[in-house]
Amino acid sequence: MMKIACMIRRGIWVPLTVLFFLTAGCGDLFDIENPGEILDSDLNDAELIPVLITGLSSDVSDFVDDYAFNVARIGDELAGSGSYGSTGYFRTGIAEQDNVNGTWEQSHEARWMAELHIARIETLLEGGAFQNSDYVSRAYLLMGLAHMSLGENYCFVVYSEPDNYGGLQPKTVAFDRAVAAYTNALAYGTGEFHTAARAGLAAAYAALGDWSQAVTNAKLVPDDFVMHTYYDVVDDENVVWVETHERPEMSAINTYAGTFDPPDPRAPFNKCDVTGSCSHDTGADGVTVHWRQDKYVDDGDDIVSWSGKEARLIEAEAALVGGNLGEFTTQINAVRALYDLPPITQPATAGSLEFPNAYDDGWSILDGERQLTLWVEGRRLWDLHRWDHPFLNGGTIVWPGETRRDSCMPVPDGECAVNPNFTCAEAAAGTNSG
Amino acid sequence: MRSRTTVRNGIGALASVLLLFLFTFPLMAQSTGQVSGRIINGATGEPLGGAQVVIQGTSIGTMANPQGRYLILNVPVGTHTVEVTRLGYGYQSLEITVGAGETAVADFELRTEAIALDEVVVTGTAGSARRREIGNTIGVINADDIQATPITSATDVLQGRTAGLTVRPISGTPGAGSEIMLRGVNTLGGPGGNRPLIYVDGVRLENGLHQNPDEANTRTTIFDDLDPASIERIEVIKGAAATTLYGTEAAGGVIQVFTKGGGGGAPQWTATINQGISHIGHIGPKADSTGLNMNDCSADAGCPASGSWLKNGHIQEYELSVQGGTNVPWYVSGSLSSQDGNLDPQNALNTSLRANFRFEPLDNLNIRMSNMFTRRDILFVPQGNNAEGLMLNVMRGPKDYTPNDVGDAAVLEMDLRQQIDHFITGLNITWTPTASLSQRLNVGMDYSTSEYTEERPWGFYSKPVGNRENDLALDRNITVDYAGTYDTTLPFLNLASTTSWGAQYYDEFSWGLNAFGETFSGPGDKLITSAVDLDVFGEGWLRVASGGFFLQEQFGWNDRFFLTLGARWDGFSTFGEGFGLAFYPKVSGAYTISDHNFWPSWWETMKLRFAVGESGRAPGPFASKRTWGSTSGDTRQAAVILSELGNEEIGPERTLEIEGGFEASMLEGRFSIDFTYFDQSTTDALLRLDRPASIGTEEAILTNLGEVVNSGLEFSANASVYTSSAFSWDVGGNYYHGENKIVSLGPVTDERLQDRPVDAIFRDRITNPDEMGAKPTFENDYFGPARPTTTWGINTRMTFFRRLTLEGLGEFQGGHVREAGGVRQNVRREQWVPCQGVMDAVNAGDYSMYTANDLATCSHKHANYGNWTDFADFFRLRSVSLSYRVPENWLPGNLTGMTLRAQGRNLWHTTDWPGIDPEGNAYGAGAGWSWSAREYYNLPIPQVFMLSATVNF
Repeated sequence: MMKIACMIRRGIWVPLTVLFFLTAGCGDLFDIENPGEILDSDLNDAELIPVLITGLSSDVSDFVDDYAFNVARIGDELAGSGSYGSTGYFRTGIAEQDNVNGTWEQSHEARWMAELHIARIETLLEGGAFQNSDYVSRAYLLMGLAHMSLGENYCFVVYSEPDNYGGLQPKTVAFDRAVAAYTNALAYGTGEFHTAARAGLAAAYAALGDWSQAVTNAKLVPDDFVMHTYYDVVDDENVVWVETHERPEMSAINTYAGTFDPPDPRAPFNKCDVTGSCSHDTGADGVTVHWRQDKYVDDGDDIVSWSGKEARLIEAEAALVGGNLGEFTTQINAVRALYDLPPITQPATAGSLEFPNAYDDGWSILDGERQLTLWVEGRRLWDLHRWDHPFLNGGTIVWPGETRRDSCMPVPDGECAVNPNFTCAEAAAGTNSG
Repeated sequence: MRSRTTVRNGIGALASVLLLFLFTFPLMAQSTGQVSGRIINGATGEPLGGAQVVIQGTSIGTMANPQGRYLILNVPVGTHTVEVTRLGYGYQSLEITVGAGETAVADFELRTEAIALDEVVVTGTAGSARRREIGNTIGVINADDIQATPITSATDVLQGRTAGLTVRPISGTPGAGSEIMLRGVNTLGGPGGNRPLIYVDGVRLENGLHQNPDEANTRTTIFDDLDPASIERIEVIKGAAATTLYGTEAAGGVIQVFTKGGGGGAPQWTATINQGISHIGHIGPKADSTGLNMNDCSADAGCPASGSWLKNGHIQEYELSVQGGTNVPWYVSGSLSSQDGNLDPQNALNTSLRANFRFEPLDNLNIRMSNMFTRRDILFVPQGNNAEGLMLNVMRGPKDYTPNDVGDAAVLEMDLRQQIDHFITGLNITWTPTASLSQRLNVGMDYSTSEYTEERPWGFYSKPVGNRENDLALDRNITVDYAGTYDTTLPFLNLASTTSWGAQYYDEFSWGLNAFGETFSGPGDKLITSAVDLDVFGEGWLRVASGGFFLQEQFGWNDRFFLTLGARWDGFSTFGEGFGLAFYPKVSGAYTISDHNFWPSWWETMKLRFAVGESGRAPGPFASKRTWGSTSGDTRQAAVILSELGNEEIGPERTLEIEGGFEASMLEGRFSIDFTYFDQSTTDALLRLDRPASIGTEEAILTNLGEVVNSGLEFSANASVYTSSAFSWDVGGNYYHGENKIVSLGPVTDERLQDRPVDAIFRDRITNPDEMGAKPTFENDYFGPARPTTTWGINTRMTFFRRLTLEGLGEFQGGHVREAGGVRQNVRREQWVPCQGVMDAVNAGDYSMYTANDLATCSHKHANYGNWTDFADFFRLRSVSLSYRVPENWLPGNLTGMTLRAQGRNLWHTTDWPGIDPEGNAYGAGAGWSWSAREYYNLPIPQVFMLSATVNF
């Protein structure tokens, strides 16, 4: 130590100290590892495949309830009675680009996660294990649902790569991708998810207008089959429950479902102002009477994504398109039987859609049955769009000067602001109001 | 999930430095005689505690106690010059002769001097330096500036006193913190990245926020854990040119807080009692006599018996300090304050203890230990953007979230409280083996815990089964800071040389746990474990380490011109593996041109200065690697989801600052000015690059692609208008104007943001404002920056007969926009009286007499946030104080001093902004700590009236 002290006194301390730190720098003083959560490389383990796919399921849960909530508002399954939505446009059928970013992002993230996970699993499973993996089958199933959600709800779809951004494409591109994904879900695994893939294929082919393929797949789905998107109080609360059951942000009053007294069992609600059994009898806007939806009565209630009931409705629609009213009635009644509802009698004519719904011909019956059977499951907007429903020309529009409701969501501003292939005006052009 | 950081050999290396430092003390000792005296303000007669007294040419010295008295022991026999320096006062010296075993007396009357070039400052340099040597401006706030001001939190000390330092309170809630900003905005990293570093007695603090009391929609800040009464002075350095040696993370500036130390001698006690009230006047438009139901709620169910939700909040503060010590000067203080809010049961109870010790085991070895413990217990009321918030439900009248058969008072059954414990300890060792060589070592720890509990009792209106949440947080930060300085004279050009070197290590650890329980078995349950459904829903664990070293060389010529060259190298655990060390250079110059003979004698001081330097900001802890987070899916099955995309090349953003200016004083120090122009350019700015979600992810990737410029000027002036023994009058002011803009956001094509401020606010702007009876149409547009671009403050002090002092401080902030979000929501609910005419017309279906702009502003069917977003310039009378120093011969018993004060804070403000309070902010879970600036059902800033008595004994 005395030697060091002498060196310091002699002025050697400057180069000494600098040398010390430089040496220490080379010797790991600053070689500090980053703290991490779960490093990407740590997931390269076949035992972790289940958590990857469950994570993908969680990504899907992120968007399914949001679609159910938003579509219920734009599609008039529930009436707006709260404070959300810019100046209330959204609730009266005007979809604005800044209100539809979330579902767009979540759908894309889910389909990308499915692609990532499938590619990783392929590197982890040897030989036939990959081909026989139910996890791969499920990943494709969830991927198909993500594509369907984009196609059914957005006016255009866009698919990009990190170094190659895409342009506006028609909805059919998403449905084609959904067909490919569901077909792959059938090609992998041992069958656990194949029935759901058939239900998905039926919906995707129907969306493409290929009724033959739609019916072929739908017939392979039993009446009572159902597969849900899952919700849970811990990590994935069902937002429809949060906003419409716990909080009075939407009401069944002034809706098609609200015309049923007592409520149809497929679209249950509570007339809070009459029963006095709710926490609120008026909406959060302080004006609208609160008729609380009782389809989702718990924050962990799941939402149906693939089902036999929808397969029957697809068959019914295919029959209606083909002019077979007998088959149409059979399929409708198969659905009603699931809910112990009395059968309908065969309509005299296919007729046409109308608003308000008179429920007196094939198309108006199909319209009503789909509304009630798929109520608040995020499907109504697609029906309004593909049928060019007359409701879009009037409905419950309250904004002076608006003549058409939107039947699809515009490509959101989060996409068009950073994608050079189109402008936000072009992205909004697909909506009726845009 | 657990994170881990390893710092191989780092601690060992620094320990080696410590050993090298400790084992090379020369053993020296000498003694005899002593010097004592008293130091007072020559204008006001006030004692000047804290003045530094030293024997010239030696390291022997002390600090005056609160009565201005000092005692220096062990002064060698002989003739010496006693030097006195104190921040804000002119230098004085006196020659004395010390005899063996005798006491020489030297009294001083100091005069204020805004530009004291020989004043020693610590901040921004490797070691202490005189102002004349420093090439950048340093703001100094000392205890004298604030002792007469009504202070209810530590950030109150900073408000309106230093050009370029902006303080924005979060809300009028007791315990709520403030946002501190130096020289505006120069980063894309959000307000969190823009915060200055905070040091207390050399120990670096976590410079952010305590955990979020989300139902209260406000935030408590760590800076407010400091006891304002224990602050001796604060040094503020505002930009990268001065903060280079602080390295990565210092680009937002540095605030150094120095707490009081003992002056030595017999114990000297100081006790202060403050009693006062906080008051909120009429809320909202005058046309609404109920004050949005807040001032008059007599028509509402659940309204308090007083007929108003608002009340005057009782403020009481008790402070006691004692200092003394002969060989080991010490300072011990304690304070207790309780602030009731203006809504029941709001309260902030603060208890703080401080113990500082200093001793000199050797003549050339000074050891100081600083310790602080603070406990804060805060009771909140649910507020803000919260369906269970009191103000939201009250101000929306019947169109609210509380059920019609339940009064708004029901929300107050929710119990929201936060308890914060904060311990800071620091050891500062300064060894000066020779007059030329000085070394300093700081080792310290900043340790804090916070517990936030939120309880809906059994029977709560919206959750009858009840629930309880408990959020725990722990932060522990270690600072090790070594610096050495060697002074010599070079054998040519009469150049003085000061070489400095040093190294720092900072280790930051945080942990948090969130637990939740729901469904109590009955009333009275108070623990999470009393609930049926239990859930631990979050644990966070994070450790980040950084280390760096610097070299600096300063050349001085004739004590007039100083040129400083320096550089800093940094390693950081959050840098990408491909990045390596960050390097930040600096150069600065200071030239006291007034020391030349040709300079006019009436213009005593003129110092020109410039500084160029770089500093940085580190990326976040997981920015360099793709990581996945744990979650659950498929109803509580284990799952992973993407957390961070990761960028292995990520490094710090770099801020280059050029600063120039001058300091001048004239007319015998009666007038002084300080002017600074700065220009900052931030490159490699950390930018979350937004890409189209159609690539498959909503996660933006953190890149070093952005570029931001930020420039402005600062100006301060002080004048002693009149000085005599009967009356003195000082006036001062400061001005700041700065603007930032985005130069580049990399490949992002959103042209709306180009050349806009980083904190730009965009809203929908009406496009057909003048069209009669038409539906408003909107287009998204830029409204203005969210943070003030112009601030100025003005202060004055008048003293009568050296005893009665009147002080005032006013502050202006402007150039920024804010959204009156709550007002827009009230319009939507037909609860805004000034809009009633438009609403009636819309309800009647005939609004042809109104323009589209009228509808977008006042129609409950059309009201638009953009129409309620406007410039929020305001001027606020921050403080007024009347102090009387009681004559000593009136004092009973052992009292040596007494000062009585009547004080007011935030007494008056003026603004054209259409909301309720231009400083009311909606921070919290909903709005986040973001650039977004909006008022949304949060309490305005209250007026404070206080009476105060301070006694010395």
